Amino acid sequence: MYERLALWMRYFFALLAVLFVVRAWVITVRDNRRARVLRAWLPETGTIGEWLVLGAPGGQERKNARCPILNEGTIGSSRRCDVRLVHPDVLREHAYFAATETGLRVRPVGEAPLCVESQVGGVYHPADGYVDMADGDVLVLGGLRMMLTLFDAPRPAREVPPPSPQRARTRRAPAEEEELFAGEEDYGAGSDPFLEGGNGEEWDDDLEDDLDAPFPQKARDTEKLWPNDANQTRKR
Amino acid sequence: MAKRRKPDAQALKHALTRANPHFLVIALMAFQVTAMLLLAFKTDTVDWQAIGFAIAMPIVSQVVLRVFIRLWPVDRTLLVLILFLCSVSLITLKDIARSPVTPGEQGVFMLLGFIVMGFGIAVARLRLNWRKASIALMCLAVPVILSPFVPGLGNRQYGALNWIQVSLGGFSVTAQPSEFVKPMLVICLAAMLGNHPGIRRAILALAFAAGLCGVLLIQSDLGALLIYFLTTVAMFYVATSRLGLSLAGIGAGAACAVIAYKTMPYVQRRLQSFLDPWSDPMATGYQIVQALIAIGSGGLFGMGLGLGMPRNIPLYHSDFIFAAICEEFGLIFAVCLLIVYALIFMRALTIAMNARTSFHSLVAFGIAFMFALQALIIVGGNIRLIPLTGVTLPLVSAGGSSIIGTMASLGLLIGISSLNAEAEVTDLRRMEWREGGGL
Repeated sequence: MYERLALWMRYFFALLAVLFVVRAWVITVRDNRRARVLRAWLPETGTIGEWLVLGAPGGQERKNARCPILNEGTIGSSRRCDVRLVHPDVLREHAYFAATETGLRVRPVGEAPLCVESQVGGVYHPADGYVDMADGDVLVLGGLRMMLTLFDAPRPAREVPPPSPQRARTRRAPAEEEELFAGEEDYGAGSDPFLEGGNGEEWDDDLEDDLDAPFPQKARDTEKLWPNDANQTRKR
Repeated sequence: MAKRRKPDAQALKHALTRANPHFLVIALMAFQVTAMLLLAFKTDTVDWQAIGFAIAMPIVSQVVLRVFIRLWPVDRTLLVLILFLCSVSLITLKDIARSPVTPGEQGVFMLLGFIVMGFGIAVARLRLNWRKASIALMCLAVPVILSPFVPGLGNRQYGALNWIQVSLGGFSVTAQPSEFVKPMLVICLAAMLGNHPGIRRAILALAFAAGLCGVLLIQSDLGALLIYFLTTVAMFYVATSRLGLSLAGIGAGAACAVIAYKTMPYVQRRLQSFLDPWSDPMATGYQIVQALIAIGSGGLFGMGLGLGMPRNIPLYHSDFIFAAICEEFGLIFAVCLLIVYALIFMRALTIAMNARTSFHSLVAFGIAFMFALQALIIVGGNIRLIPLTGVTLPLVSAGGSSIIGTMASLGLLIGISSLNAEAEVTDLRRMEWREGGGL
């Protein structure tokens, strides 16, 4: 009697195993497909910032090219690098960068020449093999300059001089928005999106949002929880 | 830049929801209960241990799933696949073991394994400076792997000095320390090789791995040596992308294998029994011949639970358990088991791709590779695809240390998957803020 039951159960176990495996396979494929859909709709998921090429005379990089930054990567002219810059001054593998708590740490490969121009003035050369960059700093690789934008820039590590009283702010910001600006880097006159007019070719024309639209209340409240200046800057 | 449509809330919610493994869990519990109940009536007297398992296994599965899901945002399908492997192990051992001690022991080790998995998840989620922690871990791993050389502890089994036996009172436990060192190796290599290591750090990592491999060579544990070596080479290649050096490493390993073949008669016997087991079917080729007969006699659907003769295969509960499963459950079930291993490997690779730091990515990859490599080696040895090596089929073979080590590694993997899920949620929140609350 047991034998007959066991013989019939063989088919049951085989069927159960096949159903199990098929369902698990479908789940796995569906998870990957959904992840791809999510990545297609929100391509900046996971990126922490951007490199913006400011100027590259003599190379093939066009001005205003943007490269998204994931947590870490390499800069160079070879095909294997994450940020590929074809320029005579850029070595095949020029530098490594990695996200840290307060910004981006850039390490030149070997004796590759690079320096960092901070937005508040001052040129930093790599010491001890690395140099820290904050939001808005410019990386200089010979003739090629790239500006770093960190979407969620924390309080900068370097000292920020107080804004000079002569610099006119055309936006009349309410008091609470000014205190949110307190810790962030000061914009140089050349790159403040609100002072310059008609810098259309640098910004996305596709954005339907009005740059001066009033900030929604909910986002402002969450702004207090997270030290995040990305919403205010509208740097895109 | 292409014009980007703002996705509507419904479609985004659809894209964000993970497929739920409800059907998998129900199928798993049905399998556990029916198989154990069937085994309970195998002999004339009712087997109460099987009835106990039939009640306990679904309960433990549910408890483990609910506890882990409630505590951390883990990958649920991966957890269910792991539970499936554990149930196959218990059912098969209950069926074929000579004494009820083996499945009982296996059950106890599985419970311990789930607790260790919880620890593994917690460890993976720690925010340590992993470089410094890995130095400490290296200092811990060396005495652990050298412990069989301590005169009181060492215990030679199956020709290899890689077991220790600890006796406390009248209760003695044998353990295989190389299994515990496996997750430690992966963590140390990942910490040292992550994030563009310089030459000094890479050499330190490889020297540590080479030291462990040397110790294993002296202990004649060639299966573990193979796994450690290949995992190190794979992690080195993934971390540094240096194909030339990796291939040189594999070449050096192949050269050492040839030297081992020339100098060790044990290796020559294994290779001979692989190449032509039928030349000496009663002595050196006995294991593989019996295994092949068992796999063949299983057919598509197997001989039925409790109806086959798997005890003719030597080491049927550890090295040749795949052959025993083929005989009892059949080819379809065995192939499904292999597909489950492949699915675990796939999901682990996805976890490694989505990991946010190179350390976590390398740990996930290392664990995935080690897991799949071990399964590949032992199944290949069972079906005479490659020469047999003395490693266990992860999670299915009997063996306490193997289960604890594998559960610890899988705990690290699942912990990294929970970190990925949290990071994705954070990213989506940040995207929402950047878009100005319009998402």
